[in-house]
Amino acid sequence: MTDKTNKDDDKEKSLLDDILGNAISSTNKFDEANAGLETKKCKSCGAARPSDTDLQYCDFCGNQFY
Amino acid sequence: MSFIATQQRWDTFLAKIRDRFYEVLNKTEAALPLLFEATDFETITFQNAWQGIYSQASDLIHKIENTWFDKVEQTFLDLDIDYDNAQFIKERNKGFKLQHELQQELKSYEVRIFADAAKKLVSNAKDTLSKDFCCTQCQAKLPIKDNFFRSYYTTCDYCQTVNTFEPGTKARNVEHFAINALGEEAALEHYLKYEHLKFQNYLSDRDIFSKDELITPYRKYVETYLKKRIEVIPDYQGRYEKDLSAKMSFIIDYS
Repeated sequence: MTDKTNKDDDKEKSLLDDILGNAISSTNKFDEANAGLETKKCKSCGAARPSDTDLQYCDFCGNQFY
Repeated sequence: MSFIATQQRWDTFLAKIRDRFYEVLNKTEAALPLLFEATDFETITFQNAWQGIYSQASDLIHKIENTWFDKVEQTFLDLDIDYDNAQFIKERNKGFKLQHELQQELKSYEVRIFADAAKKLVSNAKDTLSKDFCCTQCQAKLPIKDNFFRSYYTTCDYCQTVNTFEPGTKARNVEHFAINALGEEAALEHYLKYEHLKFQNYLSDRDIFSKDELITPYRKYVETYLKKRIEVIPDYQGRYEKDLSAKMSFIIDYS
């Protein structure tokens, strides 16, 4: 009876281990982004984008951002 | 086989299913939170692991009706008992009631275990967002919202540079993962009540509770869910009525 209980426990443990192991190994891992700040800078003059300006042209030299 | 013998076998089967169901859930109680922390709050791994456990528990629940319809029902009918016999209905409902009880239990368990993970994730994200973030140009400290989990522009008060704030993957997952879990937790009692009323209709094979009576707890469920979502992310306030109407149309138009 004790043997049977131990076998059942082992089987149960193995099933749970399989499920958890499978979840870890089969899930695609993606690079995680960290919290932080960045600023769009003009490739031509290096100026940062001031407030109330758009993302099309640099406010300082008129160079196109994209 | 006599009626008593069939009844006893059916009772034993149901007791075993119940024991096995709780055994599966009890053993995962500690494992899933550990997995979540060990993978550094990876929500997809957590969801995949839960899916495996959910399938195990769900299969057990469905075994009840499958066994009734495949074997037990015919054994009772072979004893010259009709479908409308009170004893036959009592035995059948015994299985359906257990099935419903376990389904409600599984839903409650799922909501609880996801909500616990969500609280850890929110706490981790708030810790990150409460740190100092400085302007990329002049290094002045920038005000960062601790209840908004998407990327946004923030202008430096000193040099007027527009900075783009990226909250990071974990904080973004508050919106993708945690907010739903916390909403479900807040609204769980109403959802269970709605399912319970639906089950009463199913069990008696007629509408004891009208569609309007079913709508009341469902509406409370949706309202509580959406209000909890606003509590975590106030930005959702603006679309409350639209979301309420969309979620209610599921039951009003399609059930």
